Amino acid sequence: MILEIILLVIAAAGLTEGARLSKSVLLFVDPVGPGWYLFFMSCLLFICALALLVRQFIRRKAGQREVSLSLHKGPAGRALILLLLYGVAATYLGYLPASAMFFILVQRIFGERSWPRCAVIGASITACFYFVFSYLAGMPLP
Amino acid sequence: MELGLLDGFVRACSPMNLWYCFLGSMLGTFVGVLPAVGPAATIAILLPVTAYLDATQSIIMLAGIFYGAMYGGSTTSILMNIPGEAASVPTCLDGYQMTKQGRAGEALAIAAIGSFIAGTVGALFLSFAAPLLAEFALAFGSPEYFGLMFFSLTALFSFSGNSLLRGASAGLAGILLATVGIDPMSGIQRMAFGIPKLLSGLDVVPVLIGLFGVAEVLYGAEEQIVSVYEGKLGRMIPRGKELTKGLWASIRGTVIGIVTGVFPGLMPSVVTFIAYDIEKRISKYPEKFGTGVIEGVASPEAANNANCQAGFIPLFALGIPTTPIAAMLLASLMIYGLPVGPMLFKQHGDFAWAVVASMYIGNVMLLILNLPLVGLWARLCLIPYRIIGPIVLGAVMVGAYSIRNNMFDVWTSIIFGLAGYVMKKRGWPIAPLILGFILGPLLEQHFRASLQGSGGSMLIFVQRPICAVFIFLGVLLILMSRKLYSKVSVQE
Repeated sequence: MILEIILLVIAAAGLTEGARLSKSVLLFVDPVGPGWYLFFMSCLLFICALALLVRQFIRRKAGQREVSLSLHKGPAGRALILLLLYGVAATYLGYLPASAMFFILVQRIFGERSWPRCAVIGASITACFYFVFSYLAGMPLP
Repeated sequence: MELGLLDGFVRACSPMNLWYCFLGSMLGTFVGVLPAVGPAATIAILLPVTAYLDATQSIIMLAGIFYGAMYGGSTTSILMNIPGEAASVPTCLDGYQMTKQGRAGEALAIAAIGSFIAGTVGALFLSFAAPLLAEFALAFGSPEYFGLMFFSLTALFSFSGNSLLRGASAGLAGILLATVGIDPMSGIQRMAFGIPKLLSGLDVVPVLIGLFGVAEVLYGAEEQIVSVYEGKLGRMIPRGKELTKGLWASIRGTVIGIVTGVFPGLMPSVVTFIAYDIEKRISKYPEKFGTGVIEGVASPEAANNANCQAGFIPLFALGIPTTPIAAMLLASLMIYGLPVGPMLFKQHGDFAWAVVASMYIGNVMLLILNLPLVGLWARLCLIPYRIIGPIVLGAVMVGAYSIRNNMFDVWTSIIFGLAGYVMKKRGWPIAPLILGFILGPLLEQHFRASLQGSGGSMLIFVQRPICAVFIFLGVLLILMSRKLYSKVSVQE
């Protein structure tokens, strides 16, 4: 049901903005202005999202359950949290230490059991990334 | 056309262009073989890297990844019953049975030969059809473009996923998210809610990286692949009647792929099922399908390659992407400031023809890469996911950051990654979201420009015949979507 609720929120934001902007119509230059299109699309999304939500309620009542996300149990949720922490660490510690820690820990999440192997592979990936992106491609790193 | 293509060959044969064509084909085969990383994720991650290259080299490489993945996808389907790509699922049915009978070499060879035939015929069709279509589309005004985009989006909503409501909702959400930032026509801020970072809008690359890169890795983390093929390949080239049957099936698959390739929403993953189904229906021995019939491998493999090549026709001629990967290529064209639509061939003919010519070269490279080196590709599955996954996630971070050198894009890609993961888990289609996000601004621009021309009268959309036909077809597709879906089962 989470996706339906997110869609409703996006639609509500669009409706609010569309209604606000529909007052700023530049009749000669732009007959509908920046708000009408936004309002119309948001209305359509609101109707679709509401219909999906109602359908979900009916299915729930009939005993049909959605596929469990179980983000807190599986590797996906842990990898996602680690990715967020990686972003924060890269901002404050810099790319190299943050990446080294990230690559070591994420291997554990993805099933590597040996810490030494995690450390060696993690350090190697970090070095390769730094060399390829920073030296070869000349790309800016966080 | 002939001169343009010849000139394109001269440009495509420059050492750097040949190198990027090879690199793209190689990478495409690599990600096609790997079941957990697809061409969409690869292209999304490489988009920021390719921004540092010349436009021709970049598109040659990205296109190579796209059609290279179609070749590579068959290898693990045939040898291990693991489809590298969604489009390779039907290949598993007969391909793996052939492997079990000791005919893996024949299956791999016919898949490669069929893919080569389809890729080359598809490129030939692209060479003739795209300039003609572009010439025709030069007469299009804003209302016609609005109609065309409306039709493309409705087709995608209708075909992607088992629910029109879900497809439409995802597409509409994409359209609305694309409006975040400053309205290009009036300069007024929309959907930014006073947040300064949102004023410049959501960049397409972090969104793509999140939806395809991050989401795919998170999803793949739960389905780790452990098996690898250790058996013998057997004879590499089918002989006699088997070869004839395989070649004819390849030709039929090619025709199916080309016809469906120009149509929005009919992605390779759908078309291979259609090709397999048609092949089974016209066969004299339909009951044998699924037991190791060579036509069951040749036709779907040819269809997905032809479909992928034909998808370049609306992309280059009209600026309309028919699949999410084509949408990424469109985004890449936009990053380089190239005109999307019929003006591409007019104003940047040298670029367009070089890319088209590179497809002929790329197909030859792929045939060479896929036939003798098939054993090597099969062993790529030995690379554990615990190494591939972190590498992809690390590349995602760098890619998202490097576009505008800010962490906001990194957070955007993580948020979209989570959204993509949840959508995948719950069976929601991602293609409409991305197509809506990329086509949304163009749809709005043509909608408002049309109304400017008509003084605000909506009647312009029915008074212009081409626009009216597109809108009528779009509405018809929505009304018939349930019936159509029951015939065309879509796997993203």
